[in-house]
Amino acid sequence: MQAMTQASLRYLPLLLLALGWEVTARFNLIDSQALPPLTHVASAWVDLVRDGELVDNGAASLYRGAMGLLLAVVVGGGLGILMARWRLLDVFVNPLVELFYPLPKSALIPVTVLWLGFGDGSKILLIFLGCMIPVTIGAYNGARGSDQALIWSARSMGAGRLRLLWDVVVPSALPELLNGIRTALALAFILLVSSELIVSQQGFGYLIGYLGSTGAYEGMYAVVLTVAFLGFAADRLYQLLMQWLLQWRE
Amino acid sequence: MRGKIGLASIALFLLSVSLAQADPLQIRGAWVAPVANWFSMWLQKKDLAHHFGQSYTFEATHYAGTPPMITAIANNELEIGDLAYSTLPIAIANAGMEDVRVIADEFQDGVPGYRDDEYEVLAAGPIKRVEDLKGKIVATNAIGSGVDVAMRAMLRKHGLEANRDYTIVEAPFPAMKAMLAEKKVDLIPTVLPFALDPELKKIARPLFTVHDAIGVSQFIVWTARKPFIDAHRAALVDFLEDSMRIERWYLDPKNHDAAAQIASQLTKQPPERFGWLFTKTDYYRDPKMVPNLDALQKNVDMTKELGFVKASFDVKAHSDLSLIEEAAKRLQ
Amino acid sequence: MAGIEDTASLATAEADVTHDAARRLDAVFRGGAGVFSVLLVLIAWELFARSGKVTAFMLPPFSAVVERIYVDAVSGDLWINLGLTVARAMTGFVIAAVLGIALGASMSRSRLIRWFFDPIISVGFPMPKIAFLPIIILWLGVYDVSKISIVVFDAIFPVVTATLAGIAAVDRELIWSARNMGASEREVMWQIKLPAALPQILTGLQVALPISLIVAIIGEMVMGGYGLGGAMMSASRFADSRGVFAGIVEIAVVGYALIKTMAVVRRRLLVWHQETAEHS
Repeated sequence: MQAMTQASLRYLPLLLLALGWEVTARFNLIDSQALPPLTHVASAWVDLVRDGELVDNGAASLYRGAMGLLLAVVVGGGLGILMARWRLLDVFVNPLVELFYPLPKSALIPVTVLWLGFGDGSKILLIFLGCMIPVTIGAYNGARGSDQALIWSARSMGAGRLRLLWDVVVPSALPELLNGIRTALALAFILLVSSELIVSQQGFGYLIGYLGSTGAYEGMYAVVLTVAFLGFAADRLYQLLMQWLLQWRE
Repeated sequence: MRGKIGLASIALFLLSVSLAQADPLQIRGAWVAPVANWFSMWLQKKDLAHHFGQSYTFEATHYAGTPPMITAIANNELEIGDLAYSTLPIAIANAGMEDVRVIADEFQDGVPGYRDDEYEVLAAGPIKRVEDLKGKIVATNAIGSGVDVAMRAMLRKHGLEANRDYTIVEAPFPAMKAMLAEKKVDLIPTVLPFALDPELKKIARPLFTVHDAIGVSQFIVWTARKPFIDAHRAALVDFLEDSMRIERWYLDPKNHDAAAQIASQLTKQPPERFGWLFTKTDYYRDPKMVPNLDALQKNVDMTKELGFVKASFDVKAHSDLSLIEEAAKRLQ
Repeated sequence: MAGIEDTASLATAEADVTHDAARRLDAVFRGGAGVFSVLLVLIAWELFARSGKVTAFMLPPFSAVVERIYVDAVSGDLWINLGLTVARAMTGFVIAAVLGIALGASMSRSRLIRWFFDPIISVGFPMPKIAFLPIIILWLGVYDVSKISIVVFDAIFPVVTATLAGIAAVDRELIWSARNMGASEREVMWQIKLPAALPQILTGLQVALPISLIVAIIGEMVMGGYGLGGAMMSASRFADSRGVFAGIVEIAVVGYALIKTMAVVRRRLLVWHQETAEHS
């Protein structure tokens, strides 16, 4: 009960903001077209869910985001760990990671479209390319830090190369790898929404742009807030997953 | 036993081959503006398409403008392009798709007695002449599109260059009226059906037309790539025959009310607003779907002269009108 | 309960990656060992583009892209676009830095301010702020004000959290002893807390810098006009692939230069920081 009161006190400012929004819009303190009352936004949200637009576009976005991120985790994580264990690969690939890291990934939007068109493929490729680097760096650092003594003792017990990687290196790389994936998760949302906003025929970003350009501002706000909430929720859920994984490792 | 499995698998294989051959050809078409582009209302009359589902299937996809279609064509996401006089040379000369062929007319702009698209400003606004656009924002549906290049051509005639003298922003056609009304932009292109919106007429007035900028234009053409034509000629002629039957149905004055009804459903506007549909207020559409290649050649050359494409080319050599000729014969 | 601490860990997660990349960037390139593999990739690009397996529309040869950059540099277009993009990203970044540090510092001093902003920051940080771009355009139009505002909006969060976390980690005794010696709250903030939190704050800035660039380019792609992002979109519409790839190379160089400069600034500032710590 006390925890509840505490939580509501903590999040009271958000409620105040929402109230402030509603009042500002209701009393036309700002041009009401540009700022529709929150209650109208809520009813627009219900309409969008009902006629399926939000769900269809959302499903397309989440599929793209999930596929791109999954690929980034598998390939990036694998690459990072292999780089840490295999000197030759490290020497060759590391400079490319360094060079690619500072590239603002949004610059790739027109190129992935050029290569794969307007559908899912180009977004998945963009998210994969954009998110791979933080995962690779996380896995690399984690795997390099793994305890040499542990590796030796595992070897002396006759563990094979793969076994060694899976049983010793991966678990010890986990905390940093998971941190890298968290950065990638945030980046995936940014790239997803912006690429859909710029070149797409489906998805959250497309819906935001479409509603905005036809003057359906209530709907546009509804979708923007939905995406923002999903980004926040994804991060929180991921944190829970991280905690669980790290506990399981112990 | 083994022999039986072998025979069965051969039978299965043959069956799958014959099934594959019987599969209708997938044709995807593009459209930008509802009603103005045939593919936006093609499927509504698919009852007239005798070969639909037999030799081919058809799917219509919406694009914000003709330029994104080039990328889609290059990625085999689009079989029948709906390209403008400007995006055709962009596809052929800039993107290097030498195998793109003009196969049919969609509509022509500025043909005497027919519709000529306008560029409008606020009636009560400060812009009286083209020169007044210096330092202003102009809207376009997509950079490089037919309306975009004609607009740039007009502004260049008056000494104004994009970026240097004015800013171009992209916005979908349905949003243009709101953008102008809210003074977010100072000039908008108006195309059918949005141009005839009575609310727009109340607030806006034309500053110049496409004809002022570039003369008569073969504004939009249908295109297909040569390897695709060669591989699926029969199915394509079927498709064009059906398309022509649908076009003739729409153009027939007898069907005007039914057509207005369809347009009303598409645009969620009352059917009374479509009195102009397929009359002389509408764009010129060739009843045999034959494009005006001489006009198109001039438009392409002009796009080259303006510096939007690297090189010009012989439009006739990049056309294949034999398909629509064959289709037209079947309809006689 | 979820709170700003969780968000701070997101900043650290990003900072770990940022940091490490910046540090190794130096080491590898000073050694020149990386030049080999980078060259190899560029040669592979050139050969693959010329092999006939892809069209020049899909992938123009690297040499053609370099030539295009040269032509743009001579005509002056490159410098206008480059200058504007960097100016927008850096203006947004500096505003975000100043506001972010100020907000972080005030949150650490005032319970009320902290109470109000804590949930906003912790909920706002993991959100994809770029989704708000159409709303910002709706309010502010398509000129520089919008393009810079979206950068500030996106870049400010890591700065606030890093400042807050940095100040929270300052040695209590240091602050108490300063107060005992009669330092005012203002002096404590400027002479003790902020300098001691500097490493963390700089880390926050190092996270904010690449975000500023990413967002500035997205803003230009959506809103058009001059700038590297706008030029890339325009080139893409005209099927001018050389222009698109030239944009990527230019943006990569800008990103590399800015992030490297930031790493140098950090080293300089922290050297000063340690020296003063030793002298006093």
